[in-house]
Amino acid sequence: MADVVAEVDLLVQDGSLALAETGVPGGGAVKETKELRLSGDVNDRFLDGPACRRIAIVDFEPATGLPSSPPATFTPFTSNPRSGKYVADGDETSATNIAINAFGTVFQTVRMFEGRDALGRRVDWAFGSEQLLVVPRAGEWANAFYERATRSLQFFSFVGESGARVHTALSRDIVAHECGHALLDAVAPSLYDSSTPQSVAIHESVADLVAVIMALDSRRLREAVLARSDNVLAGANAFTAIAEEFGMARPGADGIARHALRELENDETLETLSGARPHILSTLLSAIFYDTLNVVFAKLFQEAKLPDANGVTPTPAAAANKALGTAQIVFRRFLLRGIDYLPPGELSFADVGRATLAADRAARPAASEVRENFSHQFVKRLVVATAQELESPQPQSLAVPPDQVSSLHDSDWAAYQYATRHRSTLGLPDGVSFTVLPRVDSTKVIGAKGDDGVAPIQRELIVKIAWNDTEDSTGTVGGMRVVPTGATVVLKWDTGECLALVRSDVTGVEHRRDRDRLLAQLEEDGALATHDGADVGESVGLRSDGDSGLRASHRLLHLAGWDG
Amino acid sequence: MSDLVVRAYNVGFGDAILVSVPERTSRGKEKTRHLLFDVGNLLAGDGNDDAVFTGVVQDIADRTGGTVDLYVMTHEHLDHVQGLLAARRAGVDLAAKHAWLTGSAHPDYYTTHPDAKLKKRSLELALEDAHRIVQTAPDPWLEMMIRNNSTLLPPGALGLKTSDYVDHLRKIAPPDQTHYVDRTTDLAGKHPFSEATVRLLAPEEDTSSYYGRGGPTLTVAEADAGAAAATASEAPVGLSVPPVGVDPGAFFDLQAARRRNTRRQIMEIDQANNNTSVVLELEWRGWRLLFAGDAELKSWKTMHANGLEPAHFVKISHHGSHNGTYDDLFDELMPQQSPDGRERHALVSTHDGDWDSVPDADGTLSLYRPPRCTLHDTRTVARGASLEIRFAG
Ligand SMILES: [Zn+2]
Repeated sequence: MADVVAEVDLLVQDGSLALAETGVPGGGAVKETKELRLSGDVNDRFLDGPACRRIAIVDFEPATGLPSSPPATFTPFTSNPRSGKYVADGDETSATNIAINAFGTVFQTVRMFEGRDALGRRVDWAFGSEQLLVVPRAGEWANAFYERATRSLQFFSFVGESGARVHTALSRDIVAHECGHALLDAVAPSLYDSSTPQSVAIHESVADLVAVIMALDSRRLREAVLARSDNVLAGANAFTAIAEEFGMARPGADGIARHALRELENDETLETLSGARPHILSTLLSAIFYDTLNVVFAKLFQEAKLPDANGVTPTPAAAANKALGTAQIVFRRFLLRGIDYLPPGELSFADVGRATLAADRAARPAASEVRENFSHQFVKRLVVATAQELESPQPQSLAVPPDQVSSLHDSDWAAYQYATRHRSTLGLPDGVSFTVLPRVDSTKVIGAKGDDGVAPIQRELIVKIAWNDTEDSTGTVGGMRVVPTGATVVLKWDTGECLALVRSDVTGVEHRRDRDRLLAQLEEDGALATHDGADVGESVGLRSDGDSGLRASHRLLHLAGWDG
Repeated sequence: MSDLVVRAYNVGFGDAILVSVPERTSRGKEKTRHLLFDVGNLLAGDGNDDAVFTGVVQDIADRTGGTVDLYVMTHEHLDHVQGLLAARRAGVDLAAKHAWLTGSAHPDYYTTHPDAKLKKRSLELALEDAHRIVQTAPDPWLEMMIRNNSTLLPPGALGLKTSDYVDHLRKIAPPDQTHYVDRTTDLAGKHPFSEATVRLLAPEEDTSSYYGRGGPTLTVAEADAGAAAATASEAPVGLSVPPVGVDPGAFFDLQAARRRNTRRQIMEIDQANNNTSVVLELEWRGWRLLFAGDAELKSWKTMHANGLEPAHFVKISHHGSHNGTYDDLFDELMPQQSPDGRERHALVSTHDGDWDSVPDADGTLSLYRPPRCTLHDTRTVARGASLEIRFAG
């Protein structure tokens, strides 16, 4: 059966900025026509809204705050009525256009994340049902967020410094960023309620990097940025400045207009950011990844400038664009597959480093150059003392016979047997009970297409084992704190060999100190939910009376005034 | 020598406190200055009873000759402002020689304080959101909160005219003796006292810090500018069923969460308004009396940072709610041992059955106990009657 397609026109960047400065024709809002593609699911289709099985727009009337009819109509093609278009109208900020833009960007972000150049599998939303709601006009606020409890992405609008209304749902960066939160929550749900500042920051960093990938996914934006920056990625440009329009419309706390929400390129270290709040802390991890993208691009650009087989030397612009097109694919594999290897529980930046390196090694054992540079960044920025700390083993004692791989995937009994048998290798403390999470079956592209036009693939079984550590916490709350932790084992599906064992390490004294500090900051700021009056279920608070770990700490990332 | 008398009336859920301060005049005689705080109650349950004000204000007028020397409106909550106009409508008038209203009640406050203005706009939107919610489904708690905070709305907004109450208080004293005060106000020449000294501990000049982080509102600013009054009487309608293809459970959960968010916003607004309370410290013949309005934790923290001193009398803030007394600062205000050996008193003016956690009998009120102080409670006297606390001169 042919894929079902919906054509949409999406804004390339924040409506009016970036491209206007670069001299790209059209000046104002630059749009690209995109085909949204539902592949292989015969039960899925595009509906008014827009809506499909996994993503649906829910719009609210700005004047009343009440739900309104679907703002965009699906117009089927006569030739193939399951496919069609969502037709925008002439008004940039109409309900229709805002809805189409938000839906289309979310759709493409999910597709990118799940594609064979990234996770290579469909993810299940962390909230346990099938459809993510997208609210393009949620109300008045200079903010946007993903919220698990309401299964939604919510985009607000506000009046900027210039007096014009800024719709966050029209910003490709912001939409991709929030969608990145939802996707990361699907893959690493335990980060949502974490007490470790780095753990909270990982969410923000990954969301920012997903926005970068979605920006790089636009050929026109790639061209424009390369033209502006003279074919280098270093230095401030459209990719490092997430959500330009948002940042410009809303001055920073010091009254100086911020160029954008956060600059991804910086020289921060764990020492310079000591005590920083999760928002700021996230820029350190983002910068490490962004530097890696730079390195990948620079290397590919050098290669692309060489004469081709016919002795023709490409123009620098053509070479750069080709190199960046490839670099973004290498980069998305590098980042997002690492995400899939993250152990359950709270995580440190070093854990992300370990998982990323393990995932890259599993797919490309020979190509170690990017990994070496990446490790070096962690050392340079004082996240770890030595690159060895980022290494993870591939213990072949964890291998299984090839014919047992699928039963390890399907059978909880087999999975628990497996984990019990390998307790000490996994680092599971004696007597501690554990959980084996539902196993993941993922098939990834692991190299360039061959002469036959087929890219090599690798099928992997990802097994995650979770358990709890406990510690005493300080602060006025005091008492006991549960620190969820765990390990990931990855086996090659065809052979049963062990590709990686990644264990998290957040029980160390420095992470405990950071948890105590975060708790104290929250108490000091009165940012912890109290129990009087309105419902507290969706607010940041303590997990329970007996556990001073945090619940819903993910919300800190969009608590206005807590981003300082 | 006469006593200083603090007289607290049982007006239901609200404050009405008359402080009579004997002062020596320059000619060696004694003259009593009358200081009146608030007068109002909340429109909920039987805590609301406008009739009570007729008798109470009559009693105050009888004791003061119809004019108090200083009237203080602590903050713009209905349970603190509505009594004097209600009594006047029933034919009992009371005037003041001086009136102090909390700084942010100044008619021009929001033009001179742009940060506060932004917060106020978001406050108005949230109140309108809440109003729409109670029109769709009854919600007594939310309704009470809307009304309590509605004095900040323009006349006629949401079909209410609660701003009339504050307007009346703006006019009970001569214009040149009506002052909008905050901690930084120079009080010289603005009060009647010659022997007693007064100091303001709160509110801050810029109240925007009380409004906290703010949050989302369901409606946007210009979409309903000026439409509030028009939409007040008719409940707008939205989709009652989810659009085709939208997960119905998620659709209804989302709306419920939006309503909960509005409730949370309204609660924050209510707290912020409490924090704009004028907190007045009166010193007289070695006694230190603290009248705390409805100040909540945020205001207490600021007062603490500016220097809090032990008091012989505390008007317990916010009707004995647990967030009206900052437990950590309690020893500062009322040390275990009286620093000068004088007796100490606390007053709670409150009412049962209006709010779940107010008064907080087991927590907050249990702090104000011997050996620290004697607790006086308006619930111990009949509706409309008053209790007296005396301080010997
Ligand atoms: Zn975020």
